Amino acid sequence: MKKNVIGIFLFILILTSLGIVFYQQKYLKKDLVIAAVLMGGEYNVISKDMMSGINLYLDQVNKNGGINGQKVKLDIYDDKGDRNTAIKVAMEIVKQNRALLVLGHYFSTTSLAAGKVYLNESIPAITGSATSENVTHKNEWFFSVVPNNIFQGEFIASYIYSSLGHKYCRLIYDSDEYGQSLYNSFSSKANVLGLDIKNVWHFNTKTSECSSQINKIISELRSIPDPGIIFLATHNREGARFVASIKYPGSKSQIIGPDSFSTNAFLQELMKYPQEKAKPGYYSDNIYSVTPFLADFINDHNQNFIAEYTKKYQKKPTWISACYYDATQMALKAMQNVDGSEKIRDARILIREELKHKYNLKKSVKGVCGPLFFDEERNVQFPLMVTVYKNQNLVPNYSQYHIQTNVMQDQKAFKKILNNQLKTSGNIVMNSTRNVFVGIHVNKIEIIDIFRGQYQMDFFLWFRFQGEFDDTNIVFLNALNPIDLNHAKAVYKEDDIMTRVYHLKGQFKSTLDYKNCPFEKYDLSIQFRHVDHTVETTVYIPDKVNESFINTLLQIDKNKAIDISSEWKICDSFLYNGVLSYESSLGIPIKYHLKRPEVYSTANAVVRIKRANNAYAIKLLSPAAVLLLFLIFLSLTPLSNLSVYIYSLISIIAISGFFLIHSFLFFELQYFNFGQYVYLSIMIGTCSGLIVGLLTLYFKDKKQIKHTLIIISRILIFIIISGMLFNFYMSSEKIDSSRRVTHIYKKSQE
Amino acid sequence: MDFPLFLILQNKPMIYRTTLVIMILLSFACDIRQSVNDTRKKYMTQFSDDLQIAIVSSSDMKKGFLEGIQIAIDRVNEYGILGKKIYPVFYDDDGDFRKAQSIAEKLAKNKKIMAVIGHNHSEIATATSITYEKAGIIFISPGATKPDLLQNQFKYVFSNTPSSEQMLSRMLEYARNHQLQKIAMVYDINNEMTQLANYFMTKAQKYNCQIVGSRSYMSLTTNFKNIINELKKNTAFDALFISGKLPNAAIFIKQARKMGINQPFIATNYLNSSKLFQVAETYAYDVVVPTYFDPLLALSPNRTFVNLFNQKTGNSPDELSASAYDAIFLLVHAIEQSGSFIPDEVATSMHLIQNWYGACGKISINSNGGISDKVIFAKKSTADNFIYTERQLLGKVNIFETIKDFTLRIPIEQRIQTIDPGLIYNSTSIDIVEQLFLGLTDFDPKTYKPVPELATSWTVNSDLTSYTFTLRKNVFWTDNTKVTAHDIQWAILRNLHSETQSPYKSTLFILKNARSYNDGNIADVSEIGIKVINDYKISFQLEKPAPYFPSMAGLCVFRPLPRHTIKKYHDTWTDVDHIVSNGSYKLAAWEESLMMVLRKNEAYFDAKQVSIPEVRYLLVSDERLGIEMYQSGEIDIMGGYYLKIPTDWIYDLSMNPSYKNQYFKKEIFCSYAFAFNTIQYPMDNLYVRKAINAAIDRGRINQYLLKGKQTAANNFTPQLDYCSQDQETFNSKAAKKWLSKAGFPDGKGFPEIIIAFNQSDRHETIARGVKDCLMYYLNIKAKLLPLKWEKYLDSITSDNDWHLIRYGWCSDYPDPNNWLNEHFHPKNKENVVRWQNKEFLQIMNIVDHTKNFSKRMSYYCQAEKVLCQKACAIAPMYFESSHYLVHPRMKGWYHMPLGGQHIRNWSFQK
Repeated sequence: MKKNVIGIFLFILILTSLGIVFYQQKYLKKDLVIAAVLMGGEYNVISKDMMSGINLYLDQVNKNGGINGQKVKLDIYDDKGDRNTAIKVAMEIVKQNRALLVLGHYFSTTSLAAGKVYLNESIPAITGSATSENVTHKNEWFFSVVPNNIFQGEFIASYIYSSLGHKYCRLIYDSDEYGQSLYNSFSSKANVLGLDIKNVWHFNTKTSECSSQINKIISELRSIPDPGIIFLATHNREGARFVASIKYPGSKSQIIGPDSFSTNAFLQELMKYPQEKAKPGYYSDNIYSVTPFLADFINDHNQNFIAEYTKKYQKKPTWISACYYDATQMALKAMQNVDGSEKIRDARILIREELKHKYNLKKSVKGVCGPLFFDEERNVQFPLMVTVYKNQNLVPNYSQYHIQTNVMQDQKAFKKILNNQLKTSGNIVMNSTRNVFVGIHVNKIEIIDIFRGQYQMDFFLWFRFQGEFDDTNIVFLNALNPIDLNHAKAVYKEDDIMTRVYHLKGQFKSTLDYKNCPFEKYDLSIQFRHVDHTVETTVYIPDKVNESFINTLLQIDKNKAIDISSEWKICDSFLYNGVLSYESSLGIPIKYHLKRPEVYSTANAVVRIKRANNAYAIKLLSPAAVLLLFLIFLSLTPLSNLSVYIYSLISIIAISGFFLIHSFLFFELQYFNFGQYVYLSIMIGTCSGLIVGLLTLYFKDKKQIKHTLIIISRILIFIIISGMLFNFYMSSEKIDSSRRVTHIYKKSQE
Repeated sequence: MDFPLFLILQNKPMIYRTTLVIMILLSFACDIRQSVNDTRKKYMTQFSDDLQIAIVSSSDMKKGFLEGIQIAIDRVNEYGILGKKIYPVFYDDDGDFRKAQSIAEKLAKNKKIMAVIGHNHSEIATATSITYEKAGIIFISPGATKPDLLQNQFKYVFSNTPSSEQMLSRMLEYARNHQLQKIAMVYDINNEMTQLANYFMTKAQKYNCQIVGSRSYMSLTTNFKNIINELKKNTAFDALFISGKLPNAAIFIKQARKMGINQPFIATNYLNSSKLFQVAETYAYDVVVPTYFDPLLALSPNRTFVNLFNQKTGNSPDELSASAYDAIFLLVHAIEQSGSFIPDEVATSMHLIQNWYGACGKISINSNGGISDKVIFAKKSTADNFIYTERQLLGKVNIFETIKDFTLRIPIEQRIQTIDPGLIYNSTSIDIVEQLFLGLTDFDPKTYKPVPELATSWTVNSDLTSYTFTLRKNVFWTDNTKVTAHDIQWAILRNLHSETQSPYKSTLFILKNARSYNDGNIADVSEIGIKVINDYKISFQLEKPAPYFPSMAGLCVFRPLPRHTIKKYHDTWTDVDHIVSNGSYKLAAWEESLMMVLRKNEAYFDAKQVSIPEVRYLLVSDERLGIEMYQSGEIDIMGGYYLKIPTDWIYDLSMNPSYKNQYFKKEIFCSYAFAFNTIQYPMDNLYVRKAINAAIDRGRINQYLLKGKQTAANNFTPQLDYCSQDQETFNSKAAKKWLSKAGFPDGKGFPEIIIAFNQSDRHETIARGVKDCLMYYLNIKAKLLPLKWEKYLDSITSDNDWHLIRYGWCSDYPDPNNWLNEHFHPKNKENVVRWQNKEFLQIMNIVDHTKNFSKRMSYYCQAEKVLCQKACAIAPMYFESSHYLVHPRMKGWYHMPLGGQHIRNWSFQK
């Protein structure tokens, strides 16, 4: 009998555990899992950037309900940046049999090694960093969302010839796969363009003669009087070595490097040289390099990402974060058709097919680095950013490229390609975007009408640009009256770089944030865009590099505060760029049934002010303080004195009500500001206290209850008041008057 | 079913049934129906709801009746009928007489019901028809085949299927067509079957059939051994007619087959059921039954129905589903004709329906509500299913209606000028001639080597100058005359004759004295190197050793022609009414500005292997329209030698995974180049030509104008691309140097040149690319000159005012002789570049007498270098690739790099 009981018990136990396992499995099946391969140890910094990019997109998707109602989970693996470990990690992913696709690996070597496993096991993989063309070559399952070395080589050749205007160049390359493929594509493109490569040197880091090879190259190069531009197709370590040897005072040479030059590692290598350490920029200044992404260059497809990223991580995104954000975006968009019910193998096939469907601009995903669509080799092609080092910062160069669409429709396109009006690289045709650096210095703020949000500003405005540009053709978006830029106060020219300064004065209006009134800060801004040029042709960039130069030129004392009435003081001033888009029914896009907005680059200067003293706050809040004190006093009065208590409460309500109503005469707002909220909370708190107090009238005879109620009433008042104020503190969201992105649905007639 | 009633209905003599009908009639006569009739009429004039139609199925008949009805109603409701939708009300009579009657009663009282479709048992339909007639409801029975239903000539009662008797006539016709003259008869003594047997017997004579014996059996009999034995012993017959019902008739067939009766059975429509195979199993072979529906009928209502049915149910439709579908549409047609829902008016217009086309084919309604003019089909059983016999898949050619299921639809870009094998010159015509006329040889699509076609074999002498071909003996012209060696000889001589102006005559100059004959230097045809040895043997003597001659012998100018037809009709012999051909297809219709229709040639020697019955070449002048048509399923294939895929679509198609199994990029032996007019100033200067040649940026033209889908060429002959692989023709620096050397530094003083091409978007794009290159690299101005096709041909062969002309060529046969010798031989006055290059001439002379393959190729390499570099008479642009879109339904499609793909090897995926 006992045995039987145990048997039955065991049977039930087994059944239940089986049930639980089955249920869990079923539950697990429903999760959509993707794998990310990061790197621990010395590459931890890179991994963090990868993760922040991946997580930013993943969290956004999961927050909005995931994919087809299922959350996406991330499995994290570590390949240590090592080839063999990468293979092991890939095998582990296969073994786990959970991940629908893999994000990574970071390096080309690790991607290549693991790629073979993914190919054999039919797992889609997307890298946002491996640039070797071999990663995706002959691997139907590997995709890359960063332009590869072949594209980069061609791109740099086009840029040197078309935008930097060089007719000849010199080239040094590392004879490993990276340098070799850059060299090959660079030289064949140079040949087509007619860019003369005067010398080609190469070295092999794997041989013992590497050092002597490099020294030989350096000595040969130093013997050339005017070497022109030198393309260093090398990794950062060797690149830094060459830079340190080639750049010396009086050297006329220019240097351009590949994406390896756009990394912190490159700067760190340079910092090993005392000169660079002592004087930042000694070597690095004016070195060109390319990168798929730069946070300072804002356009309509990366602005949201930059804003979200900065908000979440409190720092600017690097290109690694941007590319892995793109990789994740691509991956999750390809998973739209997966509902978790299919076999994992089928789901992977579905995902790959969906990725393959992104094969042209029309079907592309709007990536933050550029439009994401794959070529035959499953690589993306979009214009890279060309940057230049200034004080160890990467600054976008004057000319950038964007993809030119509808080339086939333009009969003159081929002619334009031949004479470099249109640039080409890989299969894409590109056009130039001009970067105009903008600086604004506010001298004086007058006539501040806080209630209307109007103010008058006296300021310097300067533009720095290359070649010719109609800098005066701008429109101030928040000016009350048009401001003309007729006379430049100063013009400064160096080579073909022009800086023009204007001294302007005008009335502006901003939407101010009164929420914290009377402890508020107001952002007074100046915002403008070009009248005709959209973000495709002109992008305004805050001119931080040139600021000190202008300050000297205009004798601006940076330490001297902006001239402002004594009532206010300046707490901050800054400059940033953004975009403004109009949903337009004018122009060509309608013809293609595309709702493509007209997007303009904007420049914005903000002066943040706050009240100089607390007189206003005292004036505004002192009645409230008195009322509160009175309430405290009231709560200490004897419980039996009910009528006094009630009448006092009524008068408090009346007084706070009076102040509340009175405040609306000043602020015509959709929301309560802090001052109003204080009175409101006193009023509501007191009201509730009053209601509870009045309840006692029903319990005339029951003294005990009466007393309890009065105590409750007194406590309740303070609970409600403090609760409401706490709620205000928690929920108050700053009104972003300095938004980078503005969207207007109808373009006004101008 | 109620048992006694079943007995009455099935087995008792006529008297019982008549009594029954009279009883029913009497019982209804008492009813006052007139009022309901009037209210119905009134309702039908002003109702606002949907139109209600009662559908009465019989669930004991497991057939597609309801599916057919539903598909039809869904279709009608897409657009509505006189602004209303049909609302079907479903009933099921279970094949039960009483239930059917109560349904009929109920419906008769319902003023909203306008028509009833169903009651598919003949007996039940007959009985209920009285109720409906009285109630003024239109009644159509799609399943009743017994004539009783219509015997009263009611106004409201219709049947849209032929009666069993009508179907029997078709069986007699079958017997006549198959010479089954002596027919023995076996029948069930049940009244209905006896009736049919009588009908068969009385009509037999009319069809030249003789009834040689007859036996009957009881309905419940299952052992037929005696009857079979008797028949076997006493009667000699060609076929056995059986009038019985299932399963007994099937049992009879099974036993008869077992006992050694192998003659065909001719049966009534009652055996047209899968039950036959269930009962008689594998013995059910060679039973011929009539049916009124063929799922492969070349009529669009039929195709629409069959396809919809397949889509919806995944099965093939049966005859009841088709007839149900037709019943709805007949009713709709009548409503539309009368413009009213009042049954009285609709019935009148129903009676007037003539030559109406439905899923079952053409029908006309006759005065008693039945149908006439209906084509009935014969089906013959194999061991496990029926196959349609004497099936004519296609009717008369209707150029406005294409039956997709039987027709391969190919778009072509240009009007077909001619299909005379001796006169054709463009690749589309060559492709069509390939289907119509046989050549001595054909190309193996894999190895491109010549294989026998009209010839069965050939021999060659040791010095490769004499070839003898033996011909097939089973090849006939479409008028049944034999194709002989004389036809070949006659055709070649005709093509050679200068009067014929055959564009490919130069190909024939390989034959001894052919060129002299063409020039008029020789008049005696016997001196030309063709000898007819006998009707099926012909030999050719050549001017020079030609190892590639078997490949040439398959070309159109060598193909036999129907001399008797050409002699009779002269220039008009290729007209639809005159043409006689011998290939796998024959010409069926030809509207020059619209299309050409080919149909399978039943007389073709390998006709059994030809699967696609009809081919339509549709003239579509716009490539973009072609893409749209392809996407909407209106054409089956595009690209290659047919209408080309627009250049800007190719990249997308090649990348789009949705077209993975439809888009194909294939190599072809085609070259795209610009020819220099070497006698025209300033092209007469070698350095000018070299400069221009080197200034054309083929890489970028290919990448940005042709979207990288072609291979940039550095020489002219694709097979010889290895000769100049390491040589990059584009070199802007060298180009500038050469131009200075020619006396035009920086293009100064250089006249504007003319670039000619035949009009087309693609050619214009490329020519503009060349023009831009010349301007950019050499500062040379150029003018584009688009030419109409005829003018272009003329410009190529005569001195015209151009400097550069587009010059494309595709291999006729895989030998460089076809490229270099035939096009650029300096002695050939019509050579496009007009040159007299001695070095080239010398190489040609040597190569003409070289038999060793690799030596010949190295000489051709030298010739290429002279052509494209040393003398620079040609500026090669790229080697073409073919891009195809092939509909997944195409099976067996393959690409032929030399053109002339055989449709005879293709089929439609089932």
